Amino acid sequence: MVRIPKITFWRIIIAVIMVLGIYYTVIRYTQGLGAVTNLSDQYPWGLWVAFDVITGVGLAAGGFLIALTVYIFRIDNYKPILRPAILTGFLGYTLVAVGLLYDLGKWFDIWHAIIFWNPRSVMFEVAWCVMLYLTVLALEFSTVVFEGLKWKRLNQLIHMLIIPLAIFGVILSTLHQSSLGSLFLIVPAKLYTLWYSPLLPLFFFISAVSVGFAMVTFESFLSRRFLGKGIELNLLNGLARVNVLVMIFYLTIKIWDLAGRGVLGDVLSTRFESIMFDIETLVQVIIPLVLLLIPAVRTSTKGLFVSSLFVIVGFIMNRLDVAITGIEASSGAHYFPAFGEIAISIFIVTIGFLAFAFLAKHFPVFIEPKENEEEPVEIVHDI
Amino acid sequence: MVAIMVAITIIGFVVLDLVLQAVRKKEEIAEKQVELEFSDFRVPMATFFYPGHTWVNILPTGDVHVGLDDFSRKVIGNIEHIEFPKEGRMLKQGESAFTVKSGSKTLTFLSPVDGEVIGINRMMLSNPAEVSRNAYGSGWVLNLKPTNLSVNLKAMKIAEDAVAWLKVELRRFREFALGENLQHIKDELQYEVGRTSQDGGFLTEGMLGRMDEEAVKYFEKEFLGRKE
Amino acid sequence: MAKMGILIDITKCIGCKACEKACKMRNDQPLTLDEHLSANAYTVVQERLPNTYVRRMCMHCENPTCVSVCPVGAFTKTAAGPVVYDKYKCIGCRYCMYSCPFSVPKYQWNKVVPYVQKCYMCADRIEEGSEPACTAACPTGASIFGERDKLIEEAQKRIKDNPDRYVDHIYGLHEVGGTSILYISNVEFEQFKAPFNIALPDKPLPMYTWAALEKVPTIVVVGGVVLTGIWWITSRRGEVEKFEAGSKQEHWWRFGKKQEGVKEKKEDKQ
Ligand code: SF4
Ligand code: SF4
Ligand code: SF4
Repeated sequence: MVRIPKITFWRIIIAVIMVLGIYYTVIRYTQGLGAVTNLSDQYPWGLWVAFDVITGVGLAAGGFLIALTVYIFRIDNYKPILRPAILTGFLGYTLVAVGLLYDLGKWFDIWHAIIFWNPRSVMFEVAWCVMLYLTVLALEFSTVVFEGLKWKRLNQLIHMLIIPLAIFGVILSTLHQSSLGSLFLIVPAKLYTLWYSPLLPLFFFISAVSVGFAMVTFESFLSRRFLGKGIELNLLNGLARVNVLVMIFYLTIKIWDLAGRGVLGDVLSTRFESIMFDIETLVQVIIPLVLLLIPAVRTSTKGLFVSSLFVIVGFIMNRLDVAITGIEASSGAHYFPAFGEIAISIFIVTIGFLAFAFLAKHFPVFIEPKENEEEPVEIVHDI
Repeated sequence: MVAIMVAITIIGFVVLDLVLQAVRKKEEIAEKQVELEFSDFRVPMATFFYPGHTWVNILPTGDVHVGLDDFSRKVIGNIEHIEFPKEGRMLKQGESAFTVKSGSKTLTFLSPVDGEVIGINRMMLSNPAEVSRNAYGSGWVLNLKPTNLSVNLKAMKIAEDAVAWLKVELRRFREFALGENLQHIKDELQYEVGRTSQDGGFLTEGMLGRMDEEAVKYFEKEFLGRKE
Repeated sequence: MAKMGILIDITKCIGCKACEKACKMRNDQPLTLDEHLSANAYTVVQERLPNTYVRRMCMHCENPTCVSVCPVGAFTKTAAGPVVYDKYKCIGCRYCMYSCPFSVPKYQWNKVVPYVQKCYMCADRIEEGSEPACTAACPTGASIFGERDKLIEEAQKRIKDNPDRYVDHIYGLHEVGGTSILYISNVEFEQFKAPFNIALPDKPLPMYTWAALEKVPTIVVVGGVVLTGIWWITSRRGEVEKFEAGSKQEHWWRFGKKQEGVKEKKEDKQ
């Protein structure tokens, strides 16, 4: 089915992940959360919320950024990136929904969010934005599917809606990317001071922008690696430049905020949390920033790959730190995910990769339609 | 702790893949040590070949597409980056037109015609699989508006002439590979001596990666027609 | 109905755990001795310092965090004071557990259909005009039920009458905007740590998130206008370019001269 042009090693890994994933899925749905997770009354939120949901939404930010660039700013150069970025966004958000279905205690009641409203709840806002944005992404991506299936009429219909959809999508993304940070505004006494800040929504939004660019770059390499299709260097270089600005901005307001709250000194403390904060900031911002400021790195394939990997890993660390590490001290308990939690998380990510590979292979994701360009017929000389 | 665990997991996967890839590349290179025969090179009958190993297709609009021929493609192997000329630039026949990068090596190709650059093919970089399948079609590199086509075409070969020319080129390549002044290539390819075919031989895919600086210069001069 | 509450006088508690037992009987929970709050223990009495017992239960905040965070509004603060939970609405996101400043809500981790569990101040009994099972069972009057205002007066009176015995602090009067459960003690509250988190502000926690949430409509409106504006400008630019290109094209058709013209220029240069 899905062809991964690779020695069977990865296929074996994938098979193992699938088997484990299915096994733990069965246990989770037949015996409850306690049977698979290390969650407890002291630690009600673990890897699934922090990684699969909160981090996942951030990692899927590339879609809205590129939609903004192409549809609103009309920078046509970036058209070739649009489709892969929207596809990753769509898959990313779908996986977030899948992650939620694992994590919610009463997952079968997930639709309650539609009928029971609580506009005072940040979670309510996030739920609605994610729901609506998933719809927007599905519609945006449907052009690709319709094109692949050659359904002209529907495609034209969507094309008419594409600009309002794009605008709507950008607004929704801005809202929920920042609202994920607002989720933690409610725990001023629980979250470690280096992370708790009234500016959390802003931090979450900016870092999502930064990681969105990094993800587009990273995925491009992955798809070139596994599918032989990708995005050209010049465009990625452009994204890297923008990302440099974003990261400088992030770092500046981060320092400004720490200083303003008078906790800048805690950065040097030897507390576990402080050390984690330092590692996270180094990996997420400082190292990639330094790397990308070197022109030789910025213009080389490897350099871009490595620096975007730094941004992504650092971003993930940041989200996990805020959601898990940051409340460790106040919860009075220690949390480390159970094997089942890790297995399910990897399972979900793997499904995402496979779905991307499948769609990229069977639908025109990487090729922009050329306006009826004629290919010269090739007559090969027989020898 | 959780953050570190996840970070290590992700980096672990990436590193594992890089290691596997490195191993595989080695194997692949070993596999590709197969000599290419003349029949491995396509010579479309309607395409003009320029001695600098670029081709020209005249489009119905009167513009031309310029691309890399099979020979140069095979020597290069994996195209990593192309330095395109700016759109709107005027090129002269025999003038440097674009540069191809693979690994740490770069090759400069000459323009086969005089003309204005009116388009570049970004797909060369974004979809290498597709362009290598269709080297003489969607695998074009530059779109030019020619200004002196009739004169330029006199320097090119087509059809039977092109076939004969390519045969000569392959023979020359063999000599180049065995050349006195290029001892290292000779050593490297020693094992192939004795089972060379008449026309092909010594050309294996991605050879550029195994040439040193000196050899690359020599190759550019002798086969791509670059003047120093 | 007047706002009701419970006053817990730590100095009077003897650790008999009668309240625990009464609560468990009331809620049909297994009669175990629990150290911590759990899905099977809505209240526990903990010996925090030698011979000093702290009874823990939901604080029934005046402006409860759990009510504000729940995406489906499963929690409600009733007029009489209790914060009650609607198990049908709940989707099990556990944000309430994560954010409750006193870490009160607990979960049924090993159930296939789990619910959040916490003290509901025996809301049904209060409605009937009775008092919660736990206060009714308390033999020493360490937990007393009554109108919150009256309880505050009572607490103030006790502190005033016995300034040597009590520290001058009614916990729950101002913390996170006030709670229906009030504590007075002979020991500084911070020595007990949880639930008496001294770091808690007097500002109700929901106001922290509301500060961000109230900006949402502005972002939507401003964002919509700005983005549409940018799009309009950029697309106008595209249209102008197209129009100009189009007129050139037409020119070329009509006179068939464009290409020749170009050639001439080139030749001129040569
Ligand atoms: S103590 Fe916690 S659970 Fe109880 S009302 Fe306050 S916020 Fe809600
Ligand atoms: S776990 Fe239930 S009650 Fe608690 S916030 Fe989530 S939906 Fe509301
Ligand atoms: S008020 Fe009722 S539910 Fe709450 S602790 Fe007392 S007896 Fe238990």
